[in-house]
Amino acid sequence: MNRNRLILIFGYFLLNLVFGTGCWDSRELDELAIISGIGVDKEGDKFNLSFQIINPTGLKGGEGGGNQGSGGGGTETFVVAQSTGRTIFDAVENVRNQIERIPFFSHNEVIVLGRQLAEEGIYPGVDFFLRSPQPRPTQWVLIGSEKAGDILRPKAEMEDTSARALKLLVDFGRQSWVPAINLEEVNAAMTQKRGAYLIPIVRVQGDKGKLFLDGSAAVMKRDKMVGEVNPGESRGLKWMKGEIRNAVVVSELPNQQGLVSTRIFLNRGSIKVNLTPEGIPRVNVYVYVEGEIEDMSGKFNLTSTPGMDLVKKQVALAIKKEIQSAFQKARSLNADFINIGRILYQNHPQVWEDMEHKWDEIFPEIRAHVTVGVSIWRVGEVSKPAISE
Amino acid sequence: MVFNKLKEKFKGLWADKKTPPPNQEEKKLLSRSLGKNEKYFRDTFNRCSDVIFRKFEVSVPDPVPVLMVYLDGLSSFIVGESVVRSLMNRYLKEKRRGDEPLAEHARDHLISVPEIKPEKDLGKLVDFVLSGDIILIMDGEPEGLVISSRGWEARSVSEPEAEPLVRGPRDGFTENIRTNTSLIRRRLKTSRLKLESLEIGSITKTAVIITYIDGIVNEKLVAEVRERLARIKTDSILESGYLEQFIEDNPWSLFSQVDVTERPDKVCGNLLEGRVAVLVDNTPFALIVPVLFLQFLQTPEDYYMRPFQASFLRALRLVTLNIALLLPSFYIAITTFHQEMLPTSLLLSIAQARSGVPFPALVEALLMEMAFEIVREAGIRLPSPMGQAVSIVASLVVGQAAVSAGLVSPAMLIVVALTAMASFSLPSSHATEAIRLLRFPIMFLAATLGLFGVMAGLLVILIHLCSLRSFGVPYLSPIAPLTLRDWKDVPVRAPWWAMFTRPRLIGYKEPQRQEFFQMPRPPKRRERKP
Repeated sequence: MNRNRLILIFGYFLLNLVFGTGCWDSRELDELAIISGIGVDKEGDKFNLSFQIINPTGLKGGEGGGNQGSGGGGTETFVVAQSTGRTIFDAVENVRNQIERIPFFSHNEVIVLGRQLAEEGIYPGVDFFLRSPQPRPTQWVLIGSEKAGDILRPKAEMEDTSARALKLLVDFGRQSWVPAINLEEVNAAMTQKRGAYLIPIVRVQGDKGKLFLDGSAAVMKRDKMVGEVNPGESRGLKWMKGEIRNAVVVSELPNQQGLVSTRIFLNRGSIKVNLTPEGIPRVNVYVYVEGEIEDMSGKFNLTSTPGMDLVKKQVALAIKKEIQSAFQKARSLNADFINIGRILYQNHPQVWEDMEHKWDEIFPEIRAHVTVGVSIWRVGEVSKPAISE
Repeated sequence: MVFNKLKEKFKGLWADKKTPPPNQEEKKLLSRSLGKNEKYFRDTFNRCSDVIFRKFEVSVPDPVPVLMVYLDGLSSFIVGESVVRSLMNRYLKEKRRGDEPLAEHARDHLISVPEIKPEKDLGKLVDFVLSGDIILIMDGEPEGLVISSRGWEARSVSEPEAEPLVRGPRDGFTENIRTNTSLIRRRLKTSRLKLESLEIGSITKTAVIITYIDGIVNEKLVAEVRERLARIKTDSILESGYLEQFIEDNPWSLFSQVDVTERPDKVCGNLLEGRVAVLVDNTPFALIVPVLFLQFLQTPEDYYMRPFQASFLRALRLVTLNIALLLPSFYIAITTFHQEMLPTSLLLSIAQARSGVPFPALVEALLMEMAFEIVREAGIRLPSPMGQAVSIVASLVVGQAAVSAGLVSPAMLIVVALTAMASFSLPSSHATEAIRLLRFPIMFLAATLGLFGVMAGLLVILIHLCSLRSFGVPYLSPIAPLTLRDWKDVPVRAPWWAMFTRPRLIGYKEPQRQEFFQMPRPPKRRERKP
C-alpha cells in the first residue's frame, strides 16, 4: 500500500463522487415549466390551482423562436393549466398530468387567491408556497374579485404575461392606493392573534378582460376575509404608515371656486397610542406630506401666502378625511388593520396584557386625533391663473 | 504501481545514462607544424562546405606560411578582409625583433582588429571557428590567434510582435544575444548590471546569459539560477522554452512559474525590482524569475500610463481573468441548476434562445468552446492572408450558421465570444494558457455539481496556487502571504512618486527605490521666488 496506490484509490472515489452521481438536481432550461402566476381557488373541499406557464418560444423579440418556422407571432406567450387536488401539493402534482415539464416556481410573480378561499381561510392555500423553497417570499399576494383562475386567463397587452402585468401594477400602485403585501408579510400577519391586515383585490373589467387594481382591498383577520375597504380607506391607512410615494390628492377650493390636484411625493406618518386618565387608549396620528400643485380648475391666486395656506388646509382636510374613513371602516368591521393593538403592545405592554382578551370590545371605542401637515413646494410653470378674472 | 512498472520498463534506458557521453575528447594541443594542423582541421571539418581555408604567406621579412580558417556566413567579411590585407602587405615597415614570436608580433603590430587572443587548444580553436571567429595559425608557432569577427546576417531590432504597446519603447529583442544585452545595457548604465555567460547544450553550445543588478538582487537567487542552469545536461537548447522547463519549481503545474518577454524595457523593469533575467542566444524571448501570478495581469505599459488608467486596466484584467476562466461554467451551472438566480426576464430570453437547441448546455458549451479553440489555432498557424479567410469562414459557420441552424443558442455564442475576448485581453499568453486549459474541467464540474462544483474547482486551483513557488517566492504574494506595502503595485498602480520600495520578497536587499515626498506640488510660500 504505497502512496501512489492510495492516491489512485482516492482519485477513483473522487471521480465517482463527481460523475457517478449523475448530475442530480440538474434541470435543463427546456425541461422547466416556468410559472409566472398562480391562482388558488377553493371548490367545495377541493383546491383548484391555475398555473400561468410562460411559453418561451412565443415570446416577442429575438430570433431564437424562429427556428420552427412561424416565429413569435403565432404562438401564445403563456398557457394556463388547471388542476384540482385535495391539497395544494396534490394539485401541483396533478398538473404534471397535463404539462410535460417540471413546474418551476422560483420566477412566480404573483399569487392570486380566490374570493371563496379568502372567506374560508387562506392558510391551507398558502402553506405550500411558504414551505417550498422555490417560491420567493417577496412575491405579491392578491385576492381575486371572483375566481382566481379567471384573473390569470386574460392576455396582457404590453407585457408577456398577465402575471407580470399584475406585478407591475402592484409595484406602481403601492406608491399610492394599493396596500401591497407579499408572501412573507402575509405569513407574518397571519401569526398575529388580534390584528388584521389588508390584501389588495384584483378585478377583471370589460369583455377583453382588462386587469384592474384600484386599491380596494380585503380585510383579513387571522386568515379569513372579514370585509372590504375601498381605495380611499386603504389609502388612509397608507398615509398613516407614511408609505405614499406618488399620490394625487384632489381637494376643493373654498367657496366652490373649483378643484385643485396636488401630487404628493413625500409622506411621513406616525401613530402614537396614549392612555387617557381613565385608561382608555387614545390614538394620535401625525402625518406630514410634501407635494406640488399639478393642476387647478378654479381661478385662484396661488402666489399669495393666504391663498397658499388655504390650499394647504384643503389638502390636509382631504387627507384627514381618508384617514378618518379608514378608522371608521376598521371600527365598523372590528378589524384592527391599522395595528393599534401592536403599537399599544410596544408602548404599554402591561396595558396590552390586560386589554388583549377584550380587544374586540375596546377597539370599536377607540377614537383617533389626526394632525396633517402639508407643505407645497411648487405650483408649476404658471403661478397666477392662466385665465383673466 | 504504474510508476513502478514504468520504472521496470525503462530501467535499461536509465542505465545507459550512466555511461559518459561519447563526445569527451582529450585535450589536443596545436602542433608546431602547419601541415599537421591543417590536416587536423581539414579532418575535423570534413564535408563541411561552409568552412573556408585560406593559406597565404606573411613576409616578416622571411615568408612564413599562414592558415586562416573561418566559417563563411558567420564571420564578418570586413574583418576577414582587413586581416588578409594587413598580413599580405609586402612593405611591412615594422621590423620584428628576432626573438619575438610571430603570433605575438602579428597580434601587437600587424592585425588591426580590436579583439584578438592566442589559443593553443585544438578543440577550443574548432569551437571558435564554429562561433564565427577567424583563426590564424602560423607555421612554427605553438599558438594560434583567434580574431573576433562574429558577424552574420541577423534580423534588426524591430517591434516585438507578441507584446505590442501603445505607449512605450518600440524595440524588441532579436535572435542575437549580443544585440539583446546591448539593449539592456543601454537602459541600465551601471557597472552593477552583471551579465554572466554560460554555454548549455553539448551540440548547440547555446550561449546563455544570466543578468541581474548587483546589490539589488538577492545573491542566493542568483546562485540558485546558476545552479539550476548548471544542472542541465542536454544536447540542445534551441529556445528559452527548453530552459524554462528545466528550471521550473513545479513542472507539473499548469501555471507558468517563469515569465517570458521579448521587451528589453520589461526585462530592465524586472531587474530593477531585484529579479534575474536569463537571455538565450538565437531567440528573442528572455526568461524572468521569480514571477508572481499577478504579474501576468500587468503590462509594461501600466508603468508608462497615468496611474488612474493603469489601475482601471488592472481591475479590468482581474475581471476578464474571471470571465475567461468561469463564464461558460457559470452559464452551464445557472441554466441547469440555479435557474432561480437569474432575473426573470433574463431567464426568459435565455430560455427563448435555448428553445429548439438539441443539446444540453454542457454539450453546447463544449461544442462552441472547441470550435473557438480550433478557429484560434487555425488563425495562428496559417499565413496571415489565409488567416483572414479563416476568420470569415469561422465567423459565418461557427457563429451565424450554427445559430440559425438551431445547433447552438445565441446566448451561448455570446458567452463563448465574451470568454474569448476576455482571454485575449489578458496581457500574458503565459497566464491565459493555464486559464484556457482549466476552463474545461471546471465546465464539467459545473455540469455535474452546479455552482458547488465550480466553487470546489476554484478552491482546488486556489490551494494549488497558494502552494506554488517561483524560485522560492510564493506565487500569490503579495496577497498570500500578505504584504500590504506591495499593494501599491498590485491591485492598483500607484503614481511613480509613491512607488518608494521594491517588492518585499524579491527586492529586499535594497528596498528603497527612490526619495520620499516627491509628489509634485506648488512651492510653499517661503520657498517661492520673489
